[in-house]
Amino acid sequence: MDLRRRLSQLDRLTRRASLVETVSDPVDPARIEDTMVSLGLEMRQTSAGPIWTSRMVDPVPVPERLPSFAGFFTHAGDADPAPGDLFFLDAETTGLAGGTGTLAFLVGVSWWTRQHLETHQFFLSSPAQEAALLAVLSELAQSFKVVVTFNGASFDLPLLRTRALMNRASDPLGSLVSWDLLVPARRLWGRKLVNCRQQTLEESICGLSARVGDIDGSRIPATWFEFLAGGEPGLLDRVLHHNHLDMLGMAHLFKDVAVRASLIAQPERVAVSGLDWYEAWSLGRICERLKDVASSVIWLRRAVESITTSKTGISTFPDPRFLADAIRILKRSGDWPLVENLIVLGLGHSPSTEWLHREAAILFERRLVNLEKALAHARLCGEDGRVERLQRKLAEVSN
Amino acid sequence: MNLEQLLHQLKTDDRFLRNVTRWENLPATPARYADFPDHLNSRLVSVMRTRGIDKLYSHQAESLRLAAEGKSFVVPTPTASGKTLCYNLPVLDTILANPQARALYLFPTKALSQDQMHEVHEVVGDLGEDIKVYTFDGDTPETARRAIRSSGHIVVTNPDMLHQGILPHHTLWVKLFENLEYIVVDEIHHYRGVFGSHVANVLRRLQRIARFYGSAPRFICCSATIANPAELAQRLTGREVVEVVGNGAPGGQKHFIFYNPPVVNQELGIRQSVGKSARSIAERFMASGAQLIVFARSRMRVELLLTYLEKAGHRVGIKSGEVRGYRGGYLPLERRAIEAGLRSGAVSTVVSTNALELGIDIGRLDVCVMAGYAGTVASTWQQAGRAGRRQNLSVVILVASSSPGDQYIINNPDFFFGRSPEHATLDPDNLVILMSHLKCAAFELPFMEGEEYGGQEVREILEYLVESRILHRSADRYHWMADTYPAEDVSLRSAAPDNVVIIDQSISGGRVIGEMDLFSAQEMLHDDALYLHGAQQFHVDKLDWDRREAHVQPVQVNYYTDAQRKSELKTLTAEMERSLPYGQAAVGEVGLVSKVTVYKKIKLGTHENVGAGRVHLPEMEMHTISFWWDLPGGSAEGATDDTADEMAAVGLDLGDALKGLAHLLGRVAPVFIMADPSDLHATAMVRSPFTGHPTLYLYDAFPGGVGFARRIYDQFEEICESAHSHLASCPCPSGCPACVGPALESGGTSRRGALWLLERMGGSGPVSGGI
Repeated sequence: MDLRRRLSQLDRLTRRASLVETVSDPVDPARIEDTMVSLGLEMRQTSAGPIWTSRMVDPVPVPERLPSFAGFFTHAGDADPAPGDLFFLDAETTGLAGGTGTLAFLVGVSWWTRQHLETHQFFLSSPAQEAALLAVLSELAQSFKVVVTFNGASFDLPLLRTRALMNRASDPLGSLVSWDLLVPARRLWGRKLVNCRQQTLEESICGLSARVGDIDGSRIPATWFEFLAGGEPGLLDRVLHHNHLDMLGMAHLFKDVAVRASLIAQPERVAVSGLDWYEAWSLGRICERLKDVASSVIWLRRAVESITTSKTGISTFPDPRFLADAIRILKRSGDWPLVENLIVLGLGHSPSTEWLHREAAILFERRLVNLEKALAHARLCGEDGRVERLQRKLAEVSN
Repeated sequence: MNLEQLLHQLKTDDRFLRNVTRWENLPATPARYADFPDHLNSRLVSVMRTRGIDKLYSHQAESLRLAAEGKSFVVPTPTASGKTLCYNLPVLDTILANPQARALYLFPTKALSQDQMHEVHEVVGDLGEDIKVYTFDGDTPETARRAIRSSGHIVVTNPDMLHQGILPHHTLWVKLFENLEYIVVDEIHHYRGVFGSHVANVLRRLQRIARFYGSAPRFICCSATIANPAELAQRLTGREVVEVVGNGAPGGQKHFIFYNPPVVNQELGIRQSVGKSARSIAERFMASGAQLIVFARSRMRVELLLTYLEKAGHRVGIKSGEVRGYRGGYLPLERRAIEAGLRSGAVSTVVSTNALELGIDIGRLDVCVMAGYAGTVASTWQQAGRAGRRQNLSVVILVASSSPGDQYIINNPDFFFGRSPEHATLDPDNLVILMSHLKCAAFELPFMEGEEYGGQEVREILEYLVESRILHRSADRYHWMADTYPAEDVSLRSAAPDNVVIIDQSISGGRVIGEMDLFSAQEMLHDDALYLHGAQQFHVDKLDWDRREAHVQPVQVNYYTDAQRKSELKTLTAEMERSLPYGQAAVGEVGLVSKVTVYKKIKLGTHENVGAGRVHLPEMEMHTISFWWDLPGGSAEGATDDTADEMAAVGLDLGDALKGLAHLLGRVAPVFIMADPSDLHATAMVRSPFTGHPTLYLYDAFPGGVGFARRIYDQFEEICESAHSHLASCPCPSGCPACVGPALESGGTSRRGALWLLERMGGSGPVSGGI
């Protein structure tokens, strides 16, 4: 039996899902060129060969200047960029499996030029063009200081680094500081939104309308494989569109993060009515992370005010994690009546009360010096040692 | 009564001695020493001296000499012979001279690699050098991985992790691959058959990656005693490997006893069961206060023996917790606790599968009882090596089962105590295995046009993968082109990537208690099967084949189940043929369809058949390599000699004879080719549709075959000769489980008929009369 028949037989017997066996002729280069042109791509020569590319300009106004992003991005302090120093990047890949067998077949990059966002897409019509992609990225990156991605720190950037190694090239983005938008998005909105996916953020935070004509991300690898096998465009136009939308979304999201970053040091300037308590809470946590106690206290106060003055009032009592943060941070301000109010508020609404009684016991014992109340709370949180001590103290006082 | 007194008692116990076929007293052997070579780093020498090592054993010195010459080598020595220094010294010497140098250590199991790391650590600690030694396996925390990748001088891992966790991410390991000087492969005798064929391919991939980064590492291999360590190491690594001859380590005195359980039914040739004999022997040693290990051949046997020995322990005041089971399928933490218990003495008796045969540190015990032959001489010596503390006396008892392989060994002790006759076999070019690893290799690094893999052209397979849309060819390269991670689909340990998960339904929400490969699951986890785990019986309520789940409930019943598999075989092509003294030998490809159809319920203790049931599971289909013996006759075109006619003339039946011979050869052949009896299947046909003649098939039990059938093709005369002498000397009158199978099953004349056929193979002369 010839090798080919044995291979297909063995393959069939050892795999659960049978393979689609299609013997296809090599794709005609003219066919590929037609497809590329129909998708609006044109060929560009690089030092490492040709690659397909397109250029788009969108009206996304550039921020006038950038605030400090300390506490927002990891490595925020490693660069002090002007808006024109930002290099947005998003890659479409052959899968999420990771490892050395996954490559980026489409990379979008954007930067601000006056009032516009200029986006360039680089597309591989064959894996052989990978070296050209890496070369063009290297050349472009030299004009920027910071590469901005969404989840790129753990996906896109390591992947491009791996591809560079395998092509015996240097990391095309190695000279740039990496700012991953997922980090501030989680810190600012992670507790408010159902998830921190880019599209959720675009709609809920940036106020962009839901995407139209997008493709489900899980279908992207197969779309490229089908194009490679047959040269037909298939759904490639939607993949290019998806990448373009990702680039636009990132620029908008960046601006929204920048707005929060510029507010953070001046909590007084924000009107109570215009403030979302979730964000005030998040900003307070970021200030705490930056060891700016004064600002974090103010932000938490603003959050509490915002809740108590909102239309729904306290009927939609917030996340217990909020209460824990607020009590911890506000204790540092020494505003004990406010802390007491929060505890009372919590006891009326929070599902787990033991820790609140403990907080109350400590507050009444040490700060408000009301031993009876302290004892009552100590009993409710079941701390025998504290109960005994308070009983002793009370006995001493009454003697 | 202490151990010495017990041995004395056994020596005068006629009932015991009657069943002993050999009592070998292995005297203590003196050490052979050599000085530290001059080129060895002086600080390393002084650390050795402070650790009480003033001289090297001869094999350690020879290893250092070969390493200095830049050669790859293999050290075949028994357990506890100081083999770790054979690799640790050259590796540390190299790193001391060049702090950039890196080494990769491979052990067959995760447990073993963690264990072995401690030893290197100690030496490195004494050196006071900043040499980083890390284990990298599935348990390594994510936070530690980065440091290991960039700064580990010695990375200790196992083939599975290399295959799935390191090679597919080689770009994270640049430092290691650029500076890789040594690859240490320990316990290579384990890498044979299917597992070995996989590992050989993992090593091909490893060297391919090393080449990409510009390094050309050398191999240091260690092996138990087998006939062909250098050949095995070469097959495994694809490199020229020199054998280090001679073991310089001393050995303590050891009593090695071969015990053949008494025949309990002369008519049927049935012996007392190996389990029953082993447990009564183990019980006597337990009472003596000795610490002992009992090896059983299957997971099921481990559980049965454990149940009995726990009870026996109670009778002599040993608590249940001191008697433990140990086998695959137990969770890692449980295993670690048992290992620690053995070292500390808190566990006095352990019943294990060959899982404890490897060098995991459980200290040295006093007594080793093997319930059944371990399958190979090498494994038997490894298991025996578990007994023997320092200079103390130790005892090893091999209890034979009634299988022909065991009976052959127990009645031919010289086969065992002579030079190892076993050749370890693997076939890295098995098409199923080769193709799996080519996919992994292409994922790791695109194949270049004309690039060789494992020393051969693979263009045709790559082109096939292009057509299957797994690879994409562009310019002169083959790129991985699928949204999957191929290493995840390839398990090195079994044929199929799939496993059945075993779920205990008595715990709310269900709890996973183990897993099992598909083939075994059909036999052990079918609906209504009794599955044993941790001496606990479970009833299989439902085997959900599509979801690969077995739902079980704990029960207490007095029986176990035994499933029967039926197979059909079809010959496809003959690759090679040669003439034999009688008929023809051939080897080629066959197709096989098998199915589990029924199971029996067997009562614990008495082994009575107490019921049966049907099994409804899909057929398993497989293509493999078979050896076959094509006998004259049965053809329509008037052959000159006809085996059936000739046999009939002397009152023999060809069908019975072939059936008996298949039973015998299926169990004797594995002894020669270092295969497990389950690696090889035998079947016979009075008239094969392919040859048109009476034909006996012996085939590899793995898709595509891994070389066993080819070994039999080469060694068939020798195997027949041994089978003949074994059969001729079997004391049963007309067939028993130890030779051609019980007369009732194989037909009354099958023993005489099988002898008649083996005589035709010549050489052995006439058989003594009386049969």
